[in-house]
Amino acid sequence: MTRRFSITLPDDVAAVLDNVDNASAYIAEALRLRRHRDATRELLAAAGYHPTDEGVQRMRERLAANRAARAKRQAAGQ
Amino acid sequence: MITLVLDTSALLAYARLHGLAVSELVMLAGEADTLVGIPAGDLLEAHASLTAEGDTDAITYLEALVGDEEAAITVLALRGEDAVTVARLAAQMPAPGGAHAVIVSAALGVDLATYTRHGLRPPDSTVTLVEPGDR
Repeated sequence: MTRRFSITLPDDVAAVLDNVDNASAYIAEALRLRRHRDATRELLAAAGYHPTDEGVQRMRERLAANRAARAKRQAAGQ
Repeated sequence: MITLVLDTSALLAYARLHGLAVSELVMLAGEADTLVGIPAGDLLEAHASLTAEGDTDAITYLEALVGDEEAAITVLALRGEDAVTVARLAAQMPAPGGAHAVIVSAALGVDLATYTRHGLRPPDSTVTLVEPGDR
């Protein structure tokens, strides 16, 4: 099921939609991503956790370093 | 897409409110539109530990962590073909051990987040967590 909306967007955001094939799908995906992030943040906050951008960035870097090391190890093993 | 698995130690730390690092990993998944996997075996193990301790607040936080379908968390079932392997590994690990997390993270080819230095996954597939107060 879908619903039709009439919305107003700033020029810079509207310009993004000028370059996509399906603006409705693009907006729906953006909203879904936002809901995923907000639901996660709310879940953590309910337990008293408020992860900082710096802390999240450190974890992003740790996981990226692991991925790079795994790829290197796997390449060496082949 | 699942990019990380939490083991029993990570679940216990989170539920006991000592798991800031776990919350950072979960938030990272929320921002990246990925999922953190919670193995059913580890969830049961953590829940049993908290129940034995009578820590009702921690049980509430643990149950909430796996009860929100919109957040970046998914529970991973113990598949029949893995059950015996997990059971055998669990028998060799200290309790609570997190055998299901070890097996499922290896099967998925993703990182295992743990507070336990058991060395059962390669270092490049493990995120060993340490809270500031533990250093």
